[in-house]
Amino acid sequence: MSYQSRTMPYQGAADMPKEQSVLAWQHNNYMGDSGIHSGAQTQVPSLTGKEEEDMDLFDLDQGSYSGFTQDQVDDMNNQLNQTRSHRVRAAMFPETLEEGLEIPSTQFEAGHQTAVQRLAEPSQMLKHAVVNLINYQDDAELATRAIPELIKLLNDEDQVVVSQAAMMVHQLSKKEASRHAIMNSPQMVAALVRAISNSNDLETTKGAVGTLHKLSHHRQGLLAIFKSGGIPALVKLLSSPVESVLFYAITTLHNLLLHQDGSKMAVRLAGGLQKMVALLQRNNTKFLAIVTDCLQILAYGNQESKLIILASQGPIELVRIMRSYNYEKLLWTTSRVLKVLSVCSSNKPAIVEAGGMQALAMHLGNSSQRLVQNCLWTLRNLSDAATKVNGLDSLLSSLVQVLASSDVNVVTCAAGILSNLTCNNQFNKETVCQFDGISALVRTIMNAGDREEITEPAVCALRHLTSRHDKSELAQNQVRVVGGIPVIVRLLNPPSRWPLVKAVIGLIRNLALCQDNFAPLRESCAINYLVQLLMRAYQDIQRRASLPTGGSQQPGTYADGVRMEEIIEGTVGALHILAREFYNREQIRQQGVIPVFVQLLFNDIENIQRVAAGVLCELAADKEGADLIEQEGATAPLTELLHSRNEGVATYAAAVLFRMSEDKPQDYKKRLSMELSSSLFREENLWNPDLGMGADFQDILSPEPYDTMYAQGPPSVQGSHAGRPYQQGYDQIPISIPMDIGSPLDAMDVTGTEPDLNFDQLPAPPQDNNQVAAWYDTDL
Amino acid sequence: MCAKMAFQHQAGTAMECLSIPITLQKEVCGDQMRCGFKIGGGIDQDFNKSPQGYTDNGIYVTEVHESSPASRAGLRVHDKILQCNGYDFTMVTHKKAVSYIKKNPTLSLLVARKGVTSS
Repeated sequence: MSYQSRTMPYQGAADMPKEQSVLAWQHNNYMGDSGIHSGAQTQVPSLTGKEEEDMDLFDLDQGSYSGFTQDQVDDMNNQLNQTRSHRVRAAMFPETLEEGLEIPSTQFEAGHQTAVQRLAEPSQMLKHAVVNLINYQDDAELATRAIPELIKLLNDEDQVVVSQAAMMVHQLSKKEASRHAIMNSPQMVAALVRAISNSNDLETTKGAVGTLHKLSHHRQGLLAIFKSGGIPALVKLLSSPVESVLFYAITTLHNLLLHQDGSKMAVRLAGGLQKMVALLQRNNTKFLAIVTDCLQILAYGNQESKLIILASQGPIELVRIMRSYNYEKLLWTTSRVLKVLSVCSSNKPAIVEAGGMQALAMHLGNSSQRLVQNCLWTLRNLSDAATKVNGLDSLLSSLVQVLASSDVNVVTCAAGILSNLTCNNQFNKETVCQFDGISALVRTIMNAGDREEITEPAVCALRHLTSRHDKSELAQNQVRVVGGIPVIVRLLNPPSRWPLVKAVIGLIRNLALCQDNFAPLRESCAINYLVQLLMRAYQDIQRRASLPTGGSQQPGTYADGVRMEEIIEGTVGALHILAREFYNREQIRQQGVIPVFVQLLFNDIENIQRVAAGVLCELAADKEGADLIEQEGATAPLTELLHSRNEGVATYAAAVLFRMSEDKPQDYKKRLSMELSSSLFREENLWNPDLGMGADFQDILSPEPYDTMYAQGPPSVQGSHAGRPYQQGYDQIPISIPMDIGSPLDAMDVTGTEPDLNFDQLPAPPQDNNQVAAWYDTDL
Repeated sequence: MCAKMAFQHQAGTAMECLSIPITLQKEVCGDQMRCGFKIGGGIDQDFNKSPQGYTDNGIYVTEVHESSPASRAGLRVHDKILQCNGYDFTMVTHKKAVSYIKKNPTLSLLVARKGVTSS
């Protein structure tokens, strides 16, 4: 700009208003530009408006300027000769020109610079380089000479001297050359650190820490600070009441943590974590962003740091920050700390209790993708500890909305969180249904294709939403209305893996509780697929049972964490519900699966006995079914099961026997009736001898809900037989394995450099399987 | 304080609480020794998933069979076993607990009982 304005008067445009003068300058550029604005030539129209090639034809000698007399031409030449040295000076040393001096240009064509004009730019650059070089050398020499003296002064007894010296060093450190000289002197850095540690004088501290801050922008400087024991001194300064000192100290520590090996441990040992958490109460957002980033670096992959942050009330402060500010960078760094803490089992409940779920939910609509993603990861990590939290309406609403996102990570997280939050929380279930989560989840499953990381949690969420709450029937209907049934049933087939298959089986069972779903389920071949899965699982356990196991009492092995016994129980349970309808029963009979049901009555696991007796109970409603069951020799095992300790098993067995006796002679019925009443005395009030099998009866006998956590109703999985230990409780436990276990997205902080795996926090798994044990007991 | 310590105990930390001593003589049943109770829990299990709603990783009596050695010895369902024949049971895996119980024909147990050893 300064060059430009210098040419202005010369164009005679000085008294024009500003906009006009700029305009005039542009249009008259051919006569006014001294050539220093090298860029000017390319942007203005040429005199004639012709292309460059044409301009070569435009020749002065050919008399185009015939309007001038010879005198005038001589005068012009004379003037040009007189002002030549001025033109050269204007190009090379424009600052030496007097203001307002007029220098006529020798440039004829806008597109052709004169030799002097072309010289202007490189000569300016050369001049600057020479000046810089002279200054740099001066700085470096000055600093090198001054440093020994300054070190001596910094170590002086007199505080005033020290303070002056520190300020001087700070001044020196602002210039690059002298800064290098300072960081190359270990004694100097040591003297600065000492000054920080020992001095109570504010100016000394400011000067010294300001210098360290400057040094911390260089790798060499960081190493020098680290080696001189600067970290404890800097951590001490985090208690300073002076804003600028705090700022220098935290920024320097931040640079150390980012780039200097060994800094993390040194900061932890110096008690930096506690001080940093205390600093979270300040209100400068940029400052807070640096503090939180430091905390993230320190806590990442370090359990002890996480516990220190917890003990210092970190979660409360971090959640408060998430609630109180809207500076994106601060929110992002804070959400990263919370994410790291959220995989720690001790911090998790503290964050939830501090209102972390609600605070994180506030930002799910933010335009910053990195913030949204970090909030979602954190929420997913927390969600299994927040199943009892209420007041999550806005979170649930946001989650349903983000299910429509095109980002796979976002959808995966949202589905996972919804799955966990709808587990065993009636209020959340109803809320999600109100926000039309059913449609959103079905759409998500449709769009997810084979991505099991999305379909599995989405199916689990639907399974939770379709049972055990006031709106569950609406939900069961809604799945059908939005066309979900064929898509869901298809997931029973490959390439679905066992965990997904198991979840789908549970969902189909719940969907079958709604009568209107019977036909669509049948038409989607649900019965065929369920029977196929049952056969596969049954053959698998048969084959294993026939293998010599050396007398060990190992429960079944897992396929992807799912036991075939679970698949049997799930499929038979679903078929049990489906068999409430006539056409479904017909189809089940046609599948030839009744012999398997009867065989399952001999199974050791009570739950399997119960579902097998249950499905047989329904199938016995038709005469054809009752006959088939009797032909398979079910009478003996059913009679045996009348004495089962499990009331459900005994009741179903009685019901099957009773139905099979429909066409039997009267005395047989009487005998049976006596047997039944003697074995079932326990539940006289429950037992309805006329076997109306109304809806209430079904509800009482229905298997426990698929998403019960614990302590709801009687323990559904009771003891096992004959000292055979069994991993119990598998069907009743929600698929709410804390999402930070085993799932790489949660366990690993993707933005960092080291994995945050924390495997040491997991309970030791039982030796005979690869899954965290749920709960089981052993008969002794 | 005592209740919290006994039933919401963090495995591995020091604990002080009242306990009931129980001596159980197993009965012979075929070629096996029978106690007549069931245990659940252990540090390898997730107590959150216990149908009984237990609150820590201890070993709990989940069932006492009628007229069994256990019922005669005064063991009750939901007792928390703190010690068995001198072995600490507040920080054991389920399997380990089973093996300690199976080891000897006589069991000297120390148990904590809600409402008795603590409120």
